[in-house]
Amino acid sequence: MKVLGEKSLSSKVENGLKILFCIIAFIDIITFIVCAFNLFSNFTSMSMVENYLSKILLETIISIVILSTGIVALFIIYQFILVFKNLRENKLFESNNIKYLRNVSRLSVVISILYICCLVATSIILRQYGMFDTLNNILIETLIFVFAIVFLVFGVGIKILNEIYKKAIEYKEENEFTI
Amino acid sequence: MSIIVNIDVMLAKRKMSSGELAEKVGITPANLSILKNNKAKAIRFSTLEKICEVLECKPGDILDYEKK
Repeated sequence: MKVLGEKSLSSKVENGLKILFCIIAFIDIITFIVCAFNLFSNFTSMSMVENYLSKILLETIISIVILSTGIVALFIIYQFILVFKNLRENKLFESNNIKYLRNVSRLSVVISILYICCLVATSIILRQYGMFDTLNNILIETLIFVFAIVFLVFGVGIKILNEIYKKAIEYKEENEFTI
Repeated sequence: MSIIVNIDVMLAKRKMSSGELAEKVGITPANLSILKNNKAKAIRFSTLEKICEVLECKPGDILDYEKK
């Protein structure tokens, strides 16, 4: 199976990424509307239920993190679309690809930091209001931690791959200018 | 690069054009231009040998070192 060029695996991946980009953008818009509506209804019907404030705080933090990670994820997918576009056009050793991969690596670390901030904030709130004991909350914290680690490892991995790519471009240029 | 390629000087001495040299050495005029403009990162011994053969000179006549 052809990996590079037109009608190849990379062109199919590029199309897949474009679809994914649209789906995530759509989900982001829906999430934004739902979160905004939820927060608005929470603030307007301020009934003093037990732990009500902490629940609003938690929802707000998680909504902000979900939205911001969604937006950062869109940027990451866009960078990957540009990389695969170059691969489809057989532009393998383009210096632009280094730039795109570097952006992906940085944005992955940003997502990881966002998740860690979310984890810290949620655990402080949960402990403050004595809601930590429920199984759901422990599960949410574990999930956020796993996501943070996954994105951190992904970012570091892409950074290493980017350095290898940079070396490859250097060797290619050296080879091109050997007469 | 601190290594300077002085092909122009030798070409002038031998009253030879760049195109002629490229043809006799067997490299493209574009590659010869890269050499002349000091853009080359490396030169193969085989290419250097052919250039010396055509220009009837030694490698030291073409290559020079200038401290930056």
